[in-house]
Amino acid sequence: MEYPTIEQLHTKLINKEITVADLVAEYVDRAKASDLNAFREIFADTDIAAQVAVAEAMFQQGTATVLTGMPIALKDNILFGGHVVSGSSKMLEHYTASYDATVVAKMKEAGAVIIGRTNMDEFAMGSSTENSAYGPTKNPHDTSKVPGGSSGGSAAAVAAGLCVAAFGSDTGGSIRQPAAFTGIVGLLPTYGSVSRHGLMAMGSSLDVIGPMTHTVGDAKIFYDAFKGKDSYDGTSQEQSIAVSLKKKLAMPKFDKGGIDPEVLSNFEMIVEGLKKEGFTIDEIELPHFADALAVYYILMPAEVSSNLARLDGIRYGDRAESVSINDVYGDTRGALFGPETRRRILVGTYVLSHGYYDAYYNKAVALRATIRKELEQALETYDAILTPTTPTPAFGIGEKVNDPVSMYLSDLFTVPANIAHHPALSVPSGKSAAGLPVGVQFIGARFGEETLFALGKIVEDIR
Amino acid sequence: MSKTLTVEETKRLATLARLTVPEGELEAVSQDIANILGFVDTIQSVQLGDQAADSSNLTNVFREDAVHPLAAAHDLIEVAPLHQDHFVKVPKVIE
Repeated sequence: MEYPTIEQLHTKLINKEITVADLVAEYVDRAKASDLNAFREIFADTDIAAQVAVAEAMFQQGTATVLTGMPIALKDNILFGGHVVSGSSKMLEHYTASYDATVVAKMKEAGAVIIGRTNMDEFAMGSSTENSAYGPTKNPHDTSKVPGGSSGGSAAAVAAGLCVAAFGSDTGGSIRQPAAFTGIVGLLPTYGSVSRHGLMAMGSSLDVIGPMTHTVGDAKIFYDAFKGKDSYDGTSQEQSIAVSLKKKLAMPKFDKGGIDPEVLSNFEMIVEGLKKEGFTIDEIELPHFADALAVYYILMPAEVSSNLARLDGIRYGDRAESVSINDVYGDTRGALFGPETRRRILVGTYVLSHGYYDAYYNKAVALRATIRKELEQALETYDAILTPTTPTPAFGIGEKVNDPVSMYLSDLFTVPANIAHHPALSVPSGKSAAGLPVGVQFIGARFGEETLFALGKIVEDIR
Repeated sequence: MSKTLTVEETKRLATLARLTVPEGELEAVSQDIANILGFVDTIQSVQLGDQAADSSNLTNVFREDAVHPLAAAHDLIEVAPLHQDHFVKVPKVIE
C-alpha cells in the first residue's frame, strides 16, 4: 500500500482540499483499528483535538510549516510532558514525563500533531520488539514476523499508514533494522546532530534520535525539523556538508555465508543498478568492520549498566515493597526489568568490574578508535559505504527470543556506524519471494546526511 | 570462544548491579551471560598497533556556571514513588 508523502499532504492542506482534522482523523482511525500492537497508547481525543486546533490556527495565520497538521508518533522513550512515557518497561508503567524532549518541543513549534507513543523493546534493548513488557509488535507485511527493533512500533506504524512519520532512536541499528524489515526509510543521523535531551538514555556515547518515514524526501523534511544544536545536550552540534557526489561507493568485504541468499541477490541487483547510473563500486578491505559487533556488545552494556542505575525504585516509576534500602533497589530492579535488560546490566557490570576492565572495556574502546579511523579513511575516497541493512529479512516472532547471541547477529551491518559516529540511511530495496521487505544501507561521512538522501533517492528510482 | 560463569559469580555480579536474580533463574542467567561473553571474547584476538586509547580528538563542552530557575523542579520530586513536600522519601540508610 502506498501512502502520500508529507509534501503531497501539505499541498492538499494549503489548497484546502482537506482539513487538518480530516487528515489526522484518517490516520488515528486506522491506528485505532489496527491490531499490530504498534502503539502503546493513542492519545485521548481531546488531547489530539487541542493539537489539531493549534495546527489549524497556524494555517489561518499563515505560519504553517510543511509539518503543520501532520500526524506523527513518538517512540515510547522520548519524553512528552504530561504524558506517560514508559520505555515499554514495567519499571515506568506509571511514569509521567515532567518536561518535553527537545525534539518534541520542536514538533510543537512546527505544529505537528503527536497522536501516540509506539511500542519498543524495553529501554530500546532488542532487535524485534519482543522485549517489550507489553507484547511484541507484528510486522504489517506478515503478522507472524517481527517488525525488527528496537523501534519496531514506530516502523510498523509508519509502514501500515497509522502515522505519516515517526521518531525512532538508534543505538546499534534500532531505526535502520526495523525500517528494512517493514519496507520504510530510516536514518541514523550523525551522533550529535540531534539533541538527546529528553531521550531515555541507553548507551549515551551511541544513542541518536532519527526519522522513520515512507520516503527519503519525507525523511529529509522530518529530520531538518528536529536536528540542531541544543544547550541541553553538550554533545549536540550544528554542521552540514553540502552534496557533491564523486559517484564512487565502497562495499566492505564480508562473509557471504551468513547472509540470506535473497538479501544477497537483492543487494547485487541494487549494485548493478547503481553502476548503470554511473557509479563506480569497489569492494574494499575494512579489516575491523565485522569486529564492531563485539565492540558494541561490550561498550553498550557497560553504558546501559551505568545509565539504568538511576532506575532504582527511589527516583522514578514503581517500587518494590521491601524494607531495607538494598532490598528496595535489588527487588524493584529484579522484578520490574525484563530478561534482556537484566542480561545487559549484568554483562555491563562484568566488563566494567575489577580484573576484566582492561581485557574488555579498554580493549573495546581502543578497537572503536581503529574502526572509526578505517571508516573515516574510506569515506575520504568514497561517497558512502554500501551494505545490505540486515543479513536476513524479518524473522518469525519467537524464533530468536531465547537465543540472545543469534538475535545480536542481526545488527552486523548496522553497528559500525554507531561505533564510529557516522550517519547511515536504510532505504527499501525490494522484497523477498515471500513478500518480506529488504533494505540497503549507505554509511556516509560525518554530517553528510544530504549526500545520503541524494543516494537514497537514486535507490528509490532504480529498485 | 566458550566461556563459563558459575552461579556464585553471577550472584556477585547481581549484588554489584543491585539486581535480585531469583534462585531458580541463576543457572540459566549464568549460561546466557557466559554465551554473550564468549561471543564478545573475539576482540581478545584482535591485534592493535600503538593506538591511543581514544583518537577521536574530542573536546570538553562547558557552559557558564549560572543559576537558572527550573519550573519543573516540583514535578521532578513528584515522580518519585514516595515523596513528601520537597523531599524524596528513602528507607533508612544507616542501621
